[in-house]
Amino acid sequence: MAAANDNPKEAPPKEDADKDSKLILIAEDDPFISRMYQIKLEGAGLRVIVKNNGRDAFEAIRSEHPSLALLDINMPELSGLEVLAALQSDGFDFASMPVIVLTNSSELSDRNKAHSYGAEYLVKAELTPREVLNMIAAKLGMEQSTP
Amino acid sequence: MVSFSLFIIVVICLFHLMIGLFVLLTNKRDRTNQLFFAFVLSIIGWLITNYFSDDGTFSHTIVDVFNVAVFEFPVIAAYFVLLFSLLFTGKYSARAPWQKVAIVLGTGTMMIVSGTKLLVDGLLIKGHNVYGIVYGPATPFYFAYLLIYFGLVIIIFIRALRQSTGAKRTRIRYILAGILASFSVAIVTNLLLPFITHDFSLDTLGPFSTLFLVGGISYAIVKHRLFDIRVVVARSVAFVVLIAVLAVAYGVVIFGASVLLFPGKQLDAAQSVIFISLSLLMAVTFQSLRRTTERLTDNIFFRNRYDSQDVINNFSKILVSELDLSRILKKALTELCEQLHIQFGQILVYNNDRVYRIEHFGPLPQRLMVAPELAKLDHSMLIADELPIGERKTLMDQHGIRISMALRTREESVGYLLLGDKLSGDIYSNQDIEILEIIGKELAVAVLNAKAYAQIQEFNLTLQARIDHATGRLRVANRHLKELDRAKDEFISMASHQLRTPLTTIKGYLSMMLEGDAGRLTAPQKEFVGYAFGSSERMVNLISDLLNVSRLSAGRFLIQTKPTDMVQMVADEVRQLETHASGKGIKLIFNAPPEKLPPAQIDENKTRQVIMNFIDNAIYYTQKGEVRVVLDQTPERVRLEVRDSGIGVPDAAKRKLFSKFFRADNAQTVRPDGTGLGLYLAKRVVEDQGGTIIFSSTEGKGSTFGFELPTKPTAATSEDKHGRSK
Repeated sequence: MAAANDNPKEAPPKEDADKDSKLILIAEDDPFISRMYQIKLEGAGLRVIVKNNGRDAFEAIRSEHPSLALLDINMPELSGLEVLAALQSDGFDFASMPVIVLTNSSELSDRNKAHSYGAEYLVKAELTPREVLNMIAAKLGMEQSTP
Repeated sequence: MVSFSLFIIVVICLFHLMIGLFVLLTNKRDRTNQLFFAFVLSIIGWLITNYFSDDGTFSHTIVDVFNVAVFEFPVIAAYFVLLFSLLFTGKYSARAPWQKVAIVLGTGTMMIVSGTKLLVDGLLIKGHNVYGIVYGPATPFYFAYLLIYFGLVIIIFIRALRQSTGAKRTRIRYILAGILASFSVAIVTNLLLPFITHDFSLDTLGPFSTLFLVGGISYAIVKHRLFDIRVVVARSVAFVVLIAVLAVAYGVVIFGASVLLFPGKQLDAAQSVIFISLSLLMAVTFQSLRRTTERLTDNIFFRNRYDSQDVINNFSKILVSELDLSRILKKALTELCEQLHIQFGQILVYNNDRVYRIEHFGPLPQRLMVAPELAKLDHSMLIADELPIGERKTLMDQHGIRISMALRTREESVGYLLLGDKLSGDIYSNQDIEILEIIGKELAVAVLNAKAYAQIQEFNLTLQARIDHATGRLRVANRHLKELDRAKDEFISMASHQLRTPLTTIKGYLSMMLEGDAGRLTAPQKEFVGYAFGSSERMVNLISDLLNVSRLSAGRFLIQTKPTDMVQMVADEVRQLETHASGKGIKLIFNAPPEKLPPAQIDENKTRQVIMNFIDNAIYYTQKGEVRVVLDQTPERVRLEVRDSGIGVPDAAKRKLFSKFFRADNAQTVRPDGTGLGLYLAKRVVEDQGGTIIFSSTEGKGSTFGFELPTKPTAATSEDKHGRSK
């Protein structure tokens, strides 16, 4: 599909990187992939916490209040969808935090479940880290503008 | 003993009269029966006149008349019996006219002669007793006449006896025996002896001689269906004989008793009449009660009168209304046996020389006929009573079968209809037999049809069983295939997932290198990493295609519609591919509709893929010229066409172009890495949304690919797909 762009058209907000920068949670059990996104997002001035299992990711969301969460589905302890379910039963307000479910399994049922929590559902292999970053930026930009 | 002989004469006359009447009433219009009655009447006349001719107590004139009449009656009797014998044996019509005339002339002449002094010249009277006759010159002619006529009768019957068979032969034998016995006795006692010895003392034996004749005929009636007389009549004849015997016996006892008890004191005429009347009354009343009850039961239970036409009509109705063999047999046999009052009946239906079906009516026979026995009865109709003594008659008698009919059509033998005795014990009448002949033919045809129908039914059943069996096996095979298909899909799904994870890393890091995240790359580095990145991209797309195909075949292809701005979407895709087109020196033109359009309710993502696929293909397979994208929308439908001036599609490939993994030869050359899935998926996406694919092409000149989609979802699209995906 879209070829990797040499020149990013949309640059993520790089100013106020440390004090006011957004916190992104990456829940991903494959260290190569989590590291890849981490590099790309931090390069764009975002703060990142990485959790390699669902339970830790759930705890982190409750304690750290990240601005956005990237959730893998197939993870130890709790799957990404189970994390969402646990959050919902915990009374979590999904409107306060956009969720992007990033997975390589493309089961339609998984996608429908993700959508039911208001989460975006994307296939990792079809996106480059930059495209993921662009999507996060778009989400956060919209979130910022609305309240 | 005058009264006693009178009594005997009266009984004999009554007996004769009854027999004659029975025969006449059986068939009043039949000339044979009429002649027999006339013969019996003339015998009665002779008996009476013979009795009174000896009685001189009457006036001379009356005595003379009696003595003429006593000679006239035999002449008439001879005439009637001759005609009767000719008619009965069926020889009358064969006679030449002169012979018939001669018989009439002979009788006429003799009647005239008998009335003159030529025959009876005078009477010898002593007191009140006529004891003799003075014979005239014509006497030898008279004897000759009687001998010739009765002789002819005997000859005719003897000839007939030789030529006939079966029951008819038996009947003739009894008639002949009766005739011979009575003629010989009567001629000896009443003609020869008086003529030779002038002794008339034995002429009272004459009347008894007629008993032989009537007795023979009676026996033939009772036992052998003479004159087709029904059983009630036959039984009545038997009663008459019985009464006569009883009356005579009583009379003898009474007279004997009176002689013994009152010796020397003769009974006078009045007393005699009283005794005779009493004995007759006794004889009659002895049987009358039984006879009455029997007649009553006959009328109620054994009433075998029926309307032939009705029976045949009912029978035809049954045969027409039924197709099932067993039901036809049952109904037909029941109707037949009930209407004709038959005790029991059987229908055996054959198939390939073996008994195929048997139907019974009435009590079951102790033993069924076996095939070799039945083979002996292979005649259209056999009537046991009319068969000559022999194997077949014995066989039928053993099984109590009176009538056997081989049911056959013109082509083949169908089976047998076997009928037992009639409920009345009566023999089968001509009416019965005529009906059976008609019914037998109809039954044979109906049975044959029903048999064919039954065999077709049986064949259908086996066929159905075979089909069920085959279908069952197919169902199992189908289930097995579905399991395999599911296993395949699961495998593909899992394999895709496993392939995608390392690919994500490869593609991701390569993209980051290109983006400078690992520091600046030299030009060649950038070029090489770019190739690797492009290949990883293609591999990702290939896996997506594979997954989609796998989902399609499992029916899990989900269409999700949402309001989409078609113009915007097509413009996006055109803009994305413009660089690619211009790089090849091809003009990519978008003809958008002039006015702004309302959003269309379609699956945006999948439709976008389709549009991209069409445009991408058009650019790939066009060497020079242009690719024109034309969008047209009405409130109901949206129509997109991508027209190129490329290599086109060979005619041979057109039909299979939209099949899974199919690639045309010329496309293979231009683009060896294609998957052959793009057009297949496009067709599914379009058709699953209720649309149609547009395709036309000329090899070497160019192609047009496109689609027409309804802008509002129809029942066949989104809802349906949702339902199936769950």
